[in-house]
Amino acid sequence: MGMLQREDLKASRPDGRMPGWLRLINGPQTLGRGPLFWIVFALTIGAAVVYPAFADAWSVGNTAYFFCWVFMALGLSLIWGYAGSLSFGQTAFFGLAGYTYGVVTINFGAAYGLTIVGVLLGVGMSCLGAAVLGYILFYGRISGVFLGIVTLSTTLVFATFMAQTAGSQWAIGDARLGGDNGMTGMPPLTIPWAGGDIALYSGVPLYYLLLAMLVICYLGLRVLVNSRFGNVLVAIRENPHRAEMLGYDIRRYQLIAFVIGSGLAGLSGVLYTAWGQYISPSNMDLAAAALPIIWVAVGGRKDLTATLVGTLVVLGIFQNLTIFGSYYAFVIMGLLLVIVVVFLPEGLIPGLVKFFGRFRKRKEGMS
Amino acid sequence: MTILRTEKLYKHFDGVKVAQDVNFSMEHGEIRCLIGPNGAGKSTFFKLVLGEHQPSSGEIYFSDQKITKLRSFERVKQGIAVKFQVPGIFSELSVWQNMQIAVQNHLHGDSMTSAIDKALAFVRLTDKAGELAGELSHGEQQWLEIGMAVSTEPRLLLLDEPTAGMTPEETARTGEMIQELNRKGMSILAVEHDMEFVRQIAHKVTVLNFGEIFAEGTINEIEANEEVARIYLGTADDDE
Ligand SMILES: Nc1ncnc2c1ncn2[C@@H]1O[C@H](COP(=O)(O)OP(=O)(O)OP(=O)(O)O)[C@@H](O)[C@H]1O
Ligand SMILES: [Mg+2]
Repeated sequence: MGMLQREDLKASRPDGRMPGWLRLINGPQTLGRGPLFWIVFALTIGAAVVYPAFADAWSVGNTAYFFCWVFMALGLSLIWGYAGSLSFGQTAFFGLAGYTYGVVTINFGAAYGLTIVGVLLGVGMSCLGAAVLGYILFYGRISGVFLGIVTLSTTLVFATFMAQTAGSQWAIGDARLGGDNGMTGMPPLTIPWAGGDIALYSGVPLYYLLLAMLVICYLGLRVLVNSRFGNVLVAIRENPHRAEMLGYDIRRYQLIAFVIGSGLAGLSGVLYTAWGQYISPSNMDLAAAALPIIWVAVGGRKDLTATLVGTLVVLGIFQNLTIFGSYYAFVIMGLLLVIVVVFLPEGLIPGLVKFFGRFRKRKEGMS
Repeated sequence: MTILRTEKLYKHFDGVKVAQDVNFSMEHGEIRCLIGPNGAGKSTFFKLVLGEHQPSSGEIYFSDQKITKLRSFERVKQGIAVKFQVPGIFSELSVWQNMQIAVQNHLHGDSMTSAIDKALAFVRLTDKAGELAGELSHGEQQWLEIGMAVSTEPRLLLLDEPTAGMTPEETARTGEMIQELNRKGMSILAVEHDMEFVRQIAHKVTVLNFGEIFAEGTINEIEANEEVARIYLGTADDDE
């Protein structure tokens, strides 16, 4: 467990010899630090890169499917884990971006890299939506439980609205919103290429694209949370009143974190929609909205690595459980959440790190 | 020139008056102590100055500039820093990170690092830079908060019961710190119960009672004032 030492939490004084970006990527706001962590990190990436050579097509596609969700989880870790604002809005922005991708690509097709425009517009719409909702929330001084209630209501209203769009009058151009059945028929991500466009159906190329995006996103967020901005987010989480009295306009910081985190939910939304060529209100409803909370809480919301690992593990468990029936799976997920919240409120991974840290200390104390 | 001045300041909470016609003023470079029985409205006065509460009526001036309508963080940026009565450190973060959050709003890079080093040395916490703030002793936590407040070199420092829970040695050391800051030109307004400490640091003393300025003067004048002794003794009896 040397790579996740509790003592590392205290490491603080920046090492003058380190270049700035390295200091940020390896900073105190992330649990996994130090040479051993980065060796394991490199090995994991290596394993992920060679994985498609050893796995069957279905498993590769399924792993790519899992990757689609992780952006939303990392976004929630930023909003809730780092900045301390519990948002149930992730699936609303996921859906908003997914539908936007559908509308753009169904109307304009996949040629000339237009699916990439669809991705950008989808993510842009979710950022815009988050900016509007976030402004009302944070500048209206809504916090704590009420933040959860308002974001959840917004999500459910949006899901309910989309569910009643079955009639043919509910269409944007050629894109039928489709009510409960959702929107289908959008093209997959397509990369313009000299010898003919490459359509990324759920296969090996998509897997690699998502893997690369995930690594970039993860590392980028590490830099963000260890930067000045990240320091202020953590300060707001720990003691918002004190943060304001140190001269920070905390509403602005909360809003920016909310927009970035919700934009990542939007990224998940477009990737999921492009992956399955399908988006529906059930991706946003109550059960769906609760899932990101569970992934993030179980792994450890206050840490990006814990969120990343926790989300992939919980997704895997959840998928295996749904073989026995989806309600059954939800019940188990709910139980898992309750157990973690009661016994390891920081999440499983930080809980284990603390446990081993104490264990090590005791051993050192004895010798 | 005054560093802090209030004009006909009133504040009531659901009919309970906690500031009544407060016309307070203190000079640049002054150390002022604010005393008064429990519930007199001392902390509330700080919160009004900082914009945590909006006054029911009246105006607040900082360095002759009206700040009544400014938001808290804007007032802080103008050069007011505070140590609250209730400890306000980030206990899950290291001492160094606490300092960094206090300083990074004003300074960058090497000048930030040296400002932190200076402030930590000043409050004698250099050796504890790597420790979690929540694991410091009570007195050290108070000092960390003072360190955070002074690291940005504010023009006005508000201290709400800075020596509460400190040992006599720690209290004496805190008094020296305050005088050292003052010698460098910082104006300081402190709420204190410990009269010996007030005698050590105060240039002037303001007595607050039921949200009103009850008396004002040098420590000798205040201690000789029988009315002040009466309101104080009254509550001292209640406390026992
Ligand atoms: N937010 C609030 N809402 C209602 N009443 C309040 C509020 N804050 C303070 N009060 C009341 O205002 C009065 C003054 O409180 P304040 O905390 O300013 O007193 P104080 O002089 O600092 O006392 P102490 O010496 O105990 O710290 C008290 O009666 C208190 O109950
Ligand atoms: Mg008080």
